[in-house]
Amino acid sequence: MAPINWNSVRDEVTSILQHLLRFDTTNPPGNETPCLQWVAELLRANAIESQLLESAPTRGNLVARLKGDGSKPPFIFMGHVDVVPVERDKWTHDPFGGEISDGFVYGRGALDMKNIDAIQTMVFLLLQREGVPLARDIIFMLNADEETGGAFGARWMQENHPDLIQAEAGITELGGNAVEFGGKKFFMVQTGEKGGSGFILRARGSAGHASQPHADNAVLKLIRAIQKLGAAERPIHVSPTMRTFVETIARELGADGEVLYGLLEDETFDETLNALPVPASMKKMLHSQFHNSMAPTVLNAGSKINVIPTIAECTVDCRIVPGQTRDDVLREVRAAIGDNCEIEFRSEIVSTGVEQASAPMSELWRLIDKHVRAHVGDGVTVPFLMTGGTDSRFQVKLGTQMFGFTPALAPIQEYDRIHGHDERVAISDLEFGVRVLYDIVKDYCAA
Amino acid sequence: MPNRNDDAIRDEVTQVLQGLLRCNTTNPPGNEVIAINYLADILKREGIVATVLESAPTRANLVATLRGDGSRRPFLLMGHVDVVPAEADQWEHPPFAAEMHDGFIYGRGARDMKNTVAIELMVFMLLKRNGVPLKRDVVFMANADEEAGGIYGSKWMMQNHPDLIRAEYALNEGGGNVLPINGRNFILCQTGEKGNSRFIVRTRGTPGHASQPHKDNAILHLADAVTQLGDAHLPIHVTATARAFVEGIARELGPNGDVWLGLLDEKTFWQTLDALPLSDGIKRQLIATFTNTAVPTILKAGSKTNVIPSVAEAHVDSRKLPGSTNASFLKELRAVLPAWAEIEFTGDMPGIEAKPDSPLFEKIKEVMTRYVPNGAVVPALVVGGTDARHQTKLGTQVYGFSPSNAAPSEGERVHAHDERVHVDDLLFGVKAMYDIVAEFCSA
Repeated sequence: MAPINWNSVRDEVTSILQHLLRFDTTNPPGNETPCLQWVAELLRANAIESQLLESAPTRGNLVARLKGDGSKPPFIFMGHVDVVPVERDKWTHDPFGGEISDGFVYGRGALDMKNIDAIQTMVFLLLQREGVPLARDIIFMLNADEETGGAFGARWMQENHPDLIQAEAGITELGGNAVEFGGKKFFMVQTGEKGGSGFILRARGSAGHASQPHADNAVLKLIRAIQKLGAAERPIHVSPTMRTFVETIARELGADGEVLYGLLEDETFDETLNALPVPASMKKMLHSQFHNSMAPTVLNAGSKINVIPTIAECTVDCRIVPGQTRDDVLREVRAAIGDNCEIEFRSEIVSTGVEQASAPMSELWRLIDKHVRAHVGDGVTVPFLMTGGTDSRFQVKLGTQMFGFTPALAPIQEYDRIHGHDERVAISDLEFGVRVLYDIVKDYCAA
Repeated sequence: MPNRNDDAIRDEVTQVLQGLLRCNTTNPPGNEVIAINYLADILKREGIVATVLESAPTRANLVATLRGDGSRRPFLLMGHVDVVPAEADQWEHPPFAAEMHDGFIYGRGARDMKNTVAIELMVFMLLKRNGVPLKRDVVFMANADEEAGGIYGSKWMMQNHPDLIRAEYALNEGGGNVLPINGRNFILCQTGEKGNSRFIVRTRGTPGHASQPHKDNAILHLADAVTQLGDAHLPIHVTATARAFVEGIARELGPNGDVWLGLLDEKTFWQTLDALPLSDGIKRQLIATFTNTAVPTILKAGSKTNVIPSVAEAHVDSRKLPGSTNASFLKELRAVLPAWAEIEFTGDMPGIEAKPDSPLFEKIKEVMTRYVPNGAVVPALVVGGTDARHQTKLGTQVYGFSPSNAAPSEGERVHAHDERVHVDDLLFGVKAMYDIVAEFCSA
């Protein structure tokens, strides 16, 4: 068999991404079906049949399968094709144009996650074209609606078509990029997600006319509570995933890595994090990975300027470390603000986090690590905890061990463009992603 | 007061008020023309020609004048006939029926301020009936639209018909009630009103996804800034009114009153206030009398739970003292708020102040000493606004003084349910105000 022509693969994966980016799948409303019809056509042109399942009109989900010999359970690639809205006037490139400039492809979704959709599509096509004999079925699923919670996408598939997507292990978005410590590249593999436990802080006070100030002003009570919440030193929570993350890096760095153990103790966490030679965005992420994060995001009080309102509210976005509960959150908030405000949990968005503490022991993990080292001389893989939620949380309900892993060499600052302006991906990273993932999946699934 | 006995006056002012209360002049929409025509008819029967001026359809104002000999400048009795809305189902007695129970007349406007309009009209007619030799013209003005800012009432008159209402002195709503302190009855005469200087405190931060919080959160910045504003003691300003108020109380209370003088010095104000045997409510009024106030009432930031917003705002209701400007107030705020907190003024209405030592004020003191045993008149600053702010622009010294011997708790019914006034209080008001106006305008 002729060796793979990587120049032509690079061109092809770039072209696939450009096509995907040109479908405006801004969610809401989503309108993912046309984009997925295009993918279905592409698969059909490569002799692969797929199913397009609509959870609602225009909200499509696509599933395709390469059959293995059935000696091992299936593997799944999953991704979503919807994207978040753009502020078009802040972009220097058309967000739905798939434009190429200086080696980058620009567009909404170029990092979240049409790039990964394109890479997975390419790997899927290559495995088919190369005629690799498979022990495992390889399932390829592209979903609607990840950005607003998955009710029309991965969650709907998990609830309505579980038989189509049952798998032992899978790879999806996030992770795969590298953070550098002591000159070594550590490729992060997402093996867990934080949960959500958002709440409302509510202060009550006495009504009154603002011309005669009184001491029971709900607005001031709320403001003081937020001030205390912002200033509070809250405890760290070390999940097994993040303990492995720290210990792996520390071990690899030897004596230079000792300092990292400071991230595992409350007393030393802050100073250790401050001193780390990593970008601010990485520190922000690490801080959230070790805490039940609490970010006030919405303020609401009063409507008439001369009337002191009786109620003032602040919505607080809160992401909990797996293993933490609502009671733990309550305790932390009370310790910070005292008893002056009510705390109301928004039950509809409470979810516990998930993590797979044993992920680094698994076969797929070992193959990811092996091929990362093969492609990047001093590359090492480390598990990490995603600070937000992805569709993985639905797939794990089917017993699938999910890894967030999209191999990339881009500096970590590039990821600040996710949900921001001028989102882009380097063409070289598209090729790198296909090369590494192809090797991993082939190794994992081949007979 | 010759030619009339008390019972007849009480009956007449009561009837005038009942007729006024039965005109539903809830503002909005106002529809004051029905009340104004009612007043014009009464004046016509009295042989007095009233001028009715409509600022807009149904929004009427009335002016009538008793001529003096012109040796002194005119004197104005002013009032408004519109009222705030009533939640009729919460009233024990219907708000526009003017029912009388146990000597009280119930109705929306019974204290704010159709009672005072009826008293002023009664005084005005008695001056004519009694043939009081006037050195000043005495002008009676009834306005629309005070409760919504005066655009169709006092402000419109001031801008469009200033020659009809130009006066050296005026009596208006806002004072005349009794404040008991240490067994003494202090009668408040409003000599000033605070203005407003509403502003927005705005903080900015870095937007971002809430799953990875950062310290540069606009809401956290706002919390830091507004906490400092809430904790701060803004500077003390001693207006002429406040000084006369404190000195009047101190003098009347004798040796027990000396401690009050500590309110007049920034260095001793707060400890003095702490030590005074007053209710929290009165202490808060005192603070509002001596400081510009800043009360956050509206908070706005963000819209999506998972997005850290880049801007957060607190809207602050602020009342500034006569003599303070937005520029001077800004310096006070800047001393309290961090430099990164933006301050944007959205209101700028100056406070006003009449002299607390004028001949009219002295006359009010003199007359009230005759009417209230153990009473003493002191000037007061009110924290809300009335039509006085428009009339003041014509150079008029406006005093808020509608004499009343009602219990202080009756005032809580203003803008609330079952507003009422006692017929004896109406009579008290007519007699005291008549003496003040007749003596002052004939001298």
